[in-house]
Amino acid sequence: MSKDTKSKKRKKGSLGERRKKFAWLVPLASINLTLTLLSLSMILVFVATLEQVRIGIRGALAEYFESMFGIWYYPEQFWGGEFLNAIPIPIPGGYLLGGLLIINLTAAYITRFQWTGKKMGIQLIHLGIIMLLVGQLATQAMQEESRMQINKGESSNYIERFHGVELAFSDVTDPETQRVVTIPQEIIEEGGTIRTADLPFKIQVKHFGVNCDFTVSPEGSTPAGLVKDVNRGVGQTANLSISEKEEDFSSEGLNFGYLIFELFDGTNSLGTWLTLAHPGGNHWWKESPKLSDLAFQPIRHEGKLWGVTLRSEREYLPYSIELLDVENEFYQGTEIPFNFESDIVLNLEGNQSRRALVYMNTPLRHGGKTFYQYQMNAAANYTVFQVIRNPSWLVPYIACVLVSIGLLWQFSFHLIRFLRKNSNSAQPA
Amino acid sequence: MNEENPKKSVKGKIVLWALVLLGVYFAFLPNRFASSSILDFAKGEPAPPTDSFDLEGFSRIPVLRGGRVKPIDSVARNALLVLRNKRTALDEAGNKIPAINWFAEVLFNPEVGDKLKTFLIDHDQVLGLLGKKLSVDGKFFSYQDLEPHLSEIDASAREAGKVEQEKRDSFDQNIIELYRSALLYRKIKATLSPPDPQLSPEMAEQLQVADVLFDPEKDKDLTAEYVRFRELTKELSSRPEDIRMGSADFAKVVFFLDHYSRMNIWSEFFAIPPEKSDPKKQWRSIGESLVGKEPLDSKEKQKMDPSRFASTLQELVSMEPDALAARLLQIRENQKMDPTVLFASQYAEAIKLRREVDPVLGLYEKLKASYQDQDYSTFNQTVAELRMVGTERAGDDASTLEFEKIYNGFEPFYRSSIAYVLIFLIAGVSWLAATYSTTLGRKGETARLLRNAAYILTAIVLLSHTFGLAGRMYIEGRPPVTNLYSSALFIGWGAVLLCFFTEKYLRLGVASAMGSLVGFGSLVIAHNLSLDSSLNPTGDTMEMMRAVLDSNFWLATHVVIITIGYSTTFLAGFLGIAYVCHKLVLSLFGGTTKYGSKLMGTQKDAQRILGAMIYGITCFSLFFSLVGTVLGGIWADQSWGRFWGWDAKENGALLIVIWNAILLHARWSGTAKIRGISAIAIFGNVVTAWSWFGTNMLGVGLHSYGFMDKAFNPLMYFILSQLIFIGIAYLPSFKSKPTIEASA
Amino acid sequence: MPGSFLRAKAFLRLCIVVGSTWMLSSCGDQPEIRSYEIPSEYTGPVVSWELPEEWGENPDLSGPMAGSFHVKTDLGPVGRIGVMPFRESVSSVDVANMFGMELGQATIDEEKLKKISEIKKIGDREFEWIRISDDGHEGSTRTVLLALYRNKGETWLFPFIGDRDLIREQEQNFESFLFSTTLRAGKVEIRAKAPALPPPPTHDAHGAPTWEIPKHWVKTSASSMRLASYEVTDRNGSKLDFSVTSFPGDVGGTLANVNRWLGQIGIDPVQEADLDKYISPIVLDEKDAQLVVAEGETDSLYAAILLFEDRSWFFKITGNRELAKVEKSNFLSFLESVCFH
Repeated sequence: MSKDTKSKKRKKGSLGERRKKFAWLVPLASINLTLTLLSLSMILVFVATLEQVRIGIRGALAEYFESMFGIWYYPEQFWGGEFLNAIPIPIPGGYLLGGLLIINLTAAYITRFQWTGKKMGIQLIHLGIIMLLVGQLATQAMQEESRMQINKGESSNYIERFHGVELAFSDVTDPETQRVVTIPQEIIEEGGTIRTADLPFKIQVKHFGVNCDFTVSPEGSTPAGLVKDVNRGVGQTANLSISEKEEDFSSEGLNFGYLIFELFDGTNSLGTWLTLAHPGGNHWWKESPKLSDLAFQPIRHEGKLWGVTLRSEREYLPYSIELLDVENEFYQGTEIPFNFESDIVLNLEGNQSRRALVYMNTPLRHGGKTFYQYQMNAAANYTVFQVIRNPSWLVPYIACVLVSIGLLWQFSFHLIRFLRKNSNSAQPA
Repeated sequence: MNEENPKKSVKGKIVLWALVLLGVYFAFLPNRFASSSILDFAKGEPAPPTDSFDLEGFSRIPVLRGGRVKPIDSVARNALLVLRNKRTALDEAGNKIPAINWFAEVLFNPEVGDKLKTFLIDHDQVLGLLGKKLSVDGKFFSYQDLEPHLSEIDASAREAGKVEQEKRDSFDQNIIELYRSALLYRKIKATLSPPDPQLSPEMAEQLQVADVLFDPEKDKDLTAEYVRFRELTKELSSRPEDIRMGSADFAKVVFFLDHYSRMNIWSEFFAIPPEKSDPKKQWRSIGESLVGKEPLDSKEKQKMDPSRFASTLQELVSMEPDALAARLLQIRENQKMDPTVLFASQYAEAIKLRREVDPVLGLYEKLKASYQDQDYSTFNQTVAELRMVGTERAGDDASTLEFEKIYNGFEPFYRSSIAYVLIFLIAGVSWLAATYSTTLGRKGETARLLRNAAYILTAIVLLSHTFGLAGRMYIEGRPPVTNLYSSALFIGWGAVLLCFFTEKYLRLGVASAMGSLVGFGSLVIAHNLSLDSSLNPTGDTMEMMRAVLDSNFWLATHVVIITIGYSTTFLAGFLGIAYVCHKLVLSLFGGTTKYGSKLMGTQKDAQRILGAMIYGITCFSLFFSLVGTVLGGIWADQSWGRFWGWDAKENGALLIVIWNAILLHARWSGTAKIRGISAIAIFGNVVTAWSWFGTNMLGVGLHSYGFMDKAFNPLMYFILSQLIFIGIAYLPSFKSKPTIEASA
Repeated sequence: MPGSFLRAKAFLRLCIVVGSTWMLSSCGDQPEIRSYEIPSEYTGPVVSWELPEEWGENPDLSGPMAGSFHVKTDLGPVGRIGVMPFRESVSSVDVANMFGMELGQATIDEEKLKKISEIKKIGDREFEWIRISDDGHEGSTRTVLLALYRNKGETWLFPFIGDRDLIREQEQNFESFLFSTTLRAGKVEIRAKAPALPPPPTHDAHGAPTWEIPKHWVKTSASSMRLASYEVTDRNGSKLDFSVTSFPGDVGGTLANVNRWLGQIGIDPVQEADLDKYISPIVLDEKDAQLVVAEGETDSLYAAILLFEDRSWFFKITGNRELAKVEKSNFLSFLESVCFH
């Protein structure tokens, strides 16, 4: 008993010590700051959810969650929208609030929390929350989402990002290996002339856009607008004309990235090309006879054959996946699917392979990546996997365990006290 | 009021037991609100009558609709729910007709069925289209009333269909609904009575099909035609060389094959149970039983190459049956894009592999004929045969059939909702009694009695509510929450359960009243959700789960826990409302009546208790909503590879978590006292309602605010009402009242 | 207290700095140009070449063609050189007939093939060299030169279609072009069915003008550069050749064109200042054009030059001087009938 009080005293003393030592943290640990931040998060989450209707999840992510501040305009469709729409309303962003909450919690941890068994639950909960916040920030920064499409009976060894394109030059002269040089969207967006030792020519970016409308104009019409300088490749032979378009952020939005560029060998122009990226992957171009070459426009230079294409940013894997079969079943007499399933073989390096079934709620995990059943077309015999690499995937799990233990601890504590108190005072009904 | 104590307690006991019995009556016993009672589950099925149709037995025949094997009774009720928003039809005089009687008339005796009032039309412009007036003709109509206007309905619905979903006005929506209703009705009618091929005698002569075609004068029923068709295909499969363009027999077979295939479109449910040898347990419509299922939409037939079709078919039919079966599988697997071969495979199966007319076809024909002839004994005997064959062939799928039929009639949620009203009334009266006795300075024995009655009644209704949920779980083989409808049922249930325990310790009648209010409200919401044709196109609230959601583990953990989180947050909010009402009553009467000071004396107590209850329940809500949200994250990580995707539904859950955290932190820090806590809790109702319904509305069409949605206006009214409550909580008079009181 | 406040401020600043650097560094796989090697996924044919100075590339690569070129001249692109890979070996007779037919040749058999073919060694590769001339149309100088190279069951065909003189002139370039090629057939089979050559680059169905032709003008086959071609012959056998041609650009300008034509009928070239002697402005389909009238000792030339939408249109009649005089009015009424749509 006396030992217990002693230890309590000591601990209380240590909190006091901590408070003294980190006195400058006390204002940051204020619970009123917590309340303010939480209230602001309510506004942020609500506004960002509403905005998803307009700019899609990706747009809302970029504008509100992955930023310090977002600017919101009251939607025009709402009551009084005509007038209120004009006023820009600043909304604190996810990085700002998340960061401040982390600071607030950490400070509270140091200066306010008692490290005693009684308060253990509270501490665990808050530690878990800090981990969740940090984990989400890390995920937001590091997670990569890609897709892999495989036709039945074929195999694929690369994945493509959902967003972001690259200009890829492939030297296919050698029958065995193919040299690929890729220029990412960020560099293309900077514009100007791109030089690299890997390419025997330099690339001058003329126009680049993440989305466009394109039409095949009738033969013989003179090219105008963006494409008027294009004198090589499909852009010219198919008489493609392009009009710029805003990026479509919605989940089913299709963005056809385009690039018009001129190649130079020294000061000698090799021609101007137009390339288009297909949002579903450039193999889709092959389905359209007039534009099939968009997947590979030949450039001949110094006895070598290069192919150029603008495509979704691509990553080659050291293994490949072969699709044996796809199955798509519906409940009888309804259009409700009850199963999407891909029967695959994972071909590893060194001639090893293993069979796997990928279906809803049962992804394939390999090499730090997870392959989820994403889309499928059983009639056309292909499947699309969503491929995710998320190095920080474990953090939320640990955080969850911490929070759950903390919550249980704290509430069972309260519940027991409540029950004890009431069983003493409760009268029979 | 001056009686002695023991007498009073006897009287009190009588009142208590009377109230409890009333509750049991509403919740379980036979009454006018439901067609079956708790006794029916125990009693088993009554013996079939001899002097009337055994519709009780008929309603238990297993069929498949919406992917699920269910009794015909469910099909009839759900169809009426879609058509008339009720589970009954009306005859011409306006008398109620049970669903199963209506269904039998529609299936077997369409001349009568068409005259029954089956359709609900209450939109004035749609009525105008039919030349009707709401005030004169009412809002319920028979198919016969619609029939002359079918082409206009069709044309208007087609126009409305061209409008984007978000931009449709109420006429557009109503005309489309009416069109769908008429279509549903026609399909039901045609399911067991296939439409006539509409062949003129000359055409029949030319096609030389007259000798096969059903002849009402010579043949007993349609099975005669089916048998002749089978003979024809048997004959043809022995002479595959006759399968060619220009062969008369081949032309005949193709005519009937096309005709029977067309019947598949006009079939609303699958009446023919799986064949014994079928490993996939495929239920069939009449057409499918005869000629199999069309591999593609029949429009694709136009893309066929006729000569290649004939040659492929000939080649297939010449094969041995086993080899043919294997070949057909292969074709369906590998030649999905080739209509010619695909249709040839269907035809080959129909000609060579389907050799017998299913006896079930004959049984349904017999049922129809005996119903029309008023031949009770044949009808009842055929019903018994059909049930036997059906149950046997359906296997395990039909095991919950009997239960479902009685459960349908039991209407547990309708019963519960009535009983909830009773509880709320009793709890309300208990407060009045308490106030009355407080003003007289008495102990308030009556109030205590009523509170106990409300408490016991809550337990009874909770049983019936639980039974309703458990029944659904048993029939579906799923955890309690599978869709929006069942989430409403479950939210009510969770809130009532929590109230029951709260009331156990704090016998104040407050938890009972608020629990019954939330319970009743959620059941009303559930009822309205079951009527929403966009959520529930077949009228069956036990629909099948999409592949993504098809995980009993996560449905049982994440969905259940998060729904409890919703329900506890609502409960805390309603307790906040109770606080506001209490204060309002006090401020209205506290200052004016001469007993005001005594009333005000209870204020502190009431505040303390309500504050403690809100706090305790919010702790629960935070726990459940946080754990539920996190579990959802883990599920998402398991099935999509991301823990958190800022999706509308996820954000909604997050808002609830944050809001509960705000409430708790505000209390811990002392920033908000009881009034602030109540206000926060009431706003929690708004947050939860938004997460529950608002996010669904956003999801309707991500491209626009899908606020044409039916639930939008109710949601806005609800939010407005909550804001008014918050406003009342902050009325300045509240603060000044006690001081006036004190000075007085 | 103020001290602690300042410290808090400093701490906050530190947090922001650390946080933002962390954020930057973590977001930052810095975008970079990457270069890597993968097993070849390319299944098409690999052909590359060095183009001779005087040659240009045709833009409308299509079908089985791996490359398509023309010879740059003052007149615009002339001739047509192609590269066609076949996955399998193709018989020389088939190939020769494929082109012979177009030139109106009768069927070429083995016998005849031997006569028109030879083996040519270029570098260390042997090419089958087949020369087919236009026998179908009298006076036509159209010629096809085919170079066939066979390697491990693959066949590479290089057709050179053009005027006899042009081919003779460019044969050296053709050979050095062949010498420079790198050839590898694709992994995907290309069927060796007679591929119809794509239409010449100058031919432009859309936007082509229409006109009316005097009945006695006899249509002759349009060639790669000619949109239309007619002949008028009188009893003495004198001939007039009428053609409609069209080229992108101004084809060197009016002076160059006129001087070239003057040369063809034996008149010395003129200077810019003297051009007026031969040309006069006319209106063609409501557009300003120039009429060229030149009469030489034996032959005459009447032509209209129209520059319209960045293209040159030439309507030209040339041949026997006497006959030309007779047909002059017909020519002028023809010009009036020209209509661009």
